[in-house]
Amino acid sequence: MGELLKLCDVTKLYKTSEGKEAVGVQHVSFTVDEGEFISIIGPSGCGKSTLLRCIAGFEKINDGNIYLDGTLIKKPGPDRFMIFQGLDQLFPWLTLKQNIAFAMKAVKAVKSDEIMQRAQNNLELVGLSGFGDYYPYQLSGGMKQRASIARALSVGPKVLLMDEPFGSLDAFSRKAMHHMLLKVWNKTKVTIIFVTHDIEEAIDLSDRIIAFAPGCILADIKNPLERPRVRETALYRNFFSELNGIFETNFKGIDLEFERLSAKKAKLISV
Amino acid sequence: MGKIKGGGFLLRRLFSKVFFILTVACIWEAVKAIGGYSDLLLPGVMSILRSLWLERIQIFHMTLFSLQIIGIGLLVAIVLAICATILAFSGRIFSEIITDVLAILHPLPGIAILPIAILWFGIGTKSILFVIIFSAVWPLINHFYTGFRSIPANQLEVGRNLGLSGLKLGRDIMLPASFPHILGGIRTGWARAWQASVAAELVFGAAGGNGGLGWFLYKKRFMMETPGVFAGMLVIVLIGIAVEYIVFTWVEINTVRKWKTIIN
Repeated sequence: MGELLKLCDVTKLYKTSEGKEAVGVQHVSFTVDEGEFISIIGPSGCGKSTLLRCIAGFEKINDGNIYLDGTLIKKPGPDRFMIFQGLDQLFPWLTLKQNIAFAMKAVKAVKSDEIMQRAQNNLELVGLSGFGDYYPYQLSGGMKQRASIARALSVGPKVLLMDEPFGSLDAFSRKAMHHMLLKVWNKTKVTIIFVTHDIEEAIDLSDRIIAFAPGCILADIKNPLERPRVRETALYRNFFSELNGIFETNFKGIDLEFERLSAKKAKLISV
Repeated sequence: MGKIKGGGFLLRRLFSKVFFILTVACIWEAVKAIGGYSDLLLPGVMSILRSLWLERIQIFHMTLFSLQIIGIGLLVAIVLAICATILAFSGRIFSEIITDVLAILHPLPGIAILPIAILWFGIGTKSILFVIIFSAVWPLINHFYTGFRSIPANQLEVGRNLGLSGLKLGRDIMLPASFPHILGGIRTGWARAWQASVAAELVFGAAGGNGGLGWFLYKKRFMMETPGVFAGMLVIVLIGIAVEYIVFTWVEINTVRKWKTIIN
């Protein structure tokens, strides 16, 4: 498995509305191999979503370079597809099939006579084969996220960027989504970068876990557990404690919730 | 399923309107009989309908004239509103200017601009068109601007992720995403334009004998033909109902009701 994504010394600065500089991401470097499933974990407001948005090309970085397959990333593109947390990312005026077909037409990657068949295949892949003619409002939150994943896969991305995609779902559907995502990953071999604040979610899903603290990488750890991961085993609990410990030692005495709120209040502006 | 439900909805609304009109007609006749009013003050329903029938050709032409001028006015207002909205999104200064202009001019009734319009364009169709455009353009801008601002950020970013930008992003994502507000704007704009055209003609008539329904009302009042005045009003009401409950409701059923993105 070759190296697919490479971040070199990436820095993304913001400034507060008073003009003070605030760091979103600071001198971050790491690589992701082709077909790898990596998670970036950290508390809310630590910059992990910002990092993902930089990779997607939504944010202009101040310093450093991001390469995909050796090519420098400058702007958004369908080779890195983002899945958001919000349940409003499907286009409400299109049915599921039309949503997927729209994406394929926009990137002109698929021949027009194959579009509908491929849309159907992708819906089947995420377990929504009978729902192609449904409008988004007719679906549950989990189904909407499934459809978003199907749409993302339809344009053939090299990397799937998932920004807390199951954060709006209840624990039960989240479990089903994990199951589905792993199945999709096994079948498509697509590289996944998964951002979450849920340590267990990261352990369950990924090969590698990057612990992220305000602006920088705290630790980059290979997941030692065999798949499928069972939460009741001692090995699992040990690994969980290890990850949890990283945050406990680094965040002693820092009220992150407070920091996040004051950051929100200050209204960060991209510089 | 949606279609049948939609059709039933349309029929039910239509039926309730017809029933309402019949009820009003009955009360009307009762008031006239009890009060013993003359036809000059309160004409009976039958004499209104008779006047409507006798003047049908003139009313038809004047209705066409009204619809034509309103159509042109509304179209120009929509184009102007689209330009203003795009401008508002191309820089913070523009958006502030447009918000301020909107705050100043939106509350001003279109008819209040008529003296200025006559000063600038003289008595005639041009002035009426100006008043129509002025009346419709502010609510249109207001709705369009709100609509564009309320597009979910995620949907725009999916568009950008697919490599869309500029016109394509506008046409394929921003337009349908803000359509509930756009439809609301056109609805309000249409009502304002219709009101403005009638009001403007009522105040100063029409030039060269070429006018719309407001001009019809003006002439009938001038000649003390009260049944004719009411006939003209009836036509105005009927057209309002027809456009609202056939055109707009039809569009609504096939778009925002189908997508469940309706806002009001």
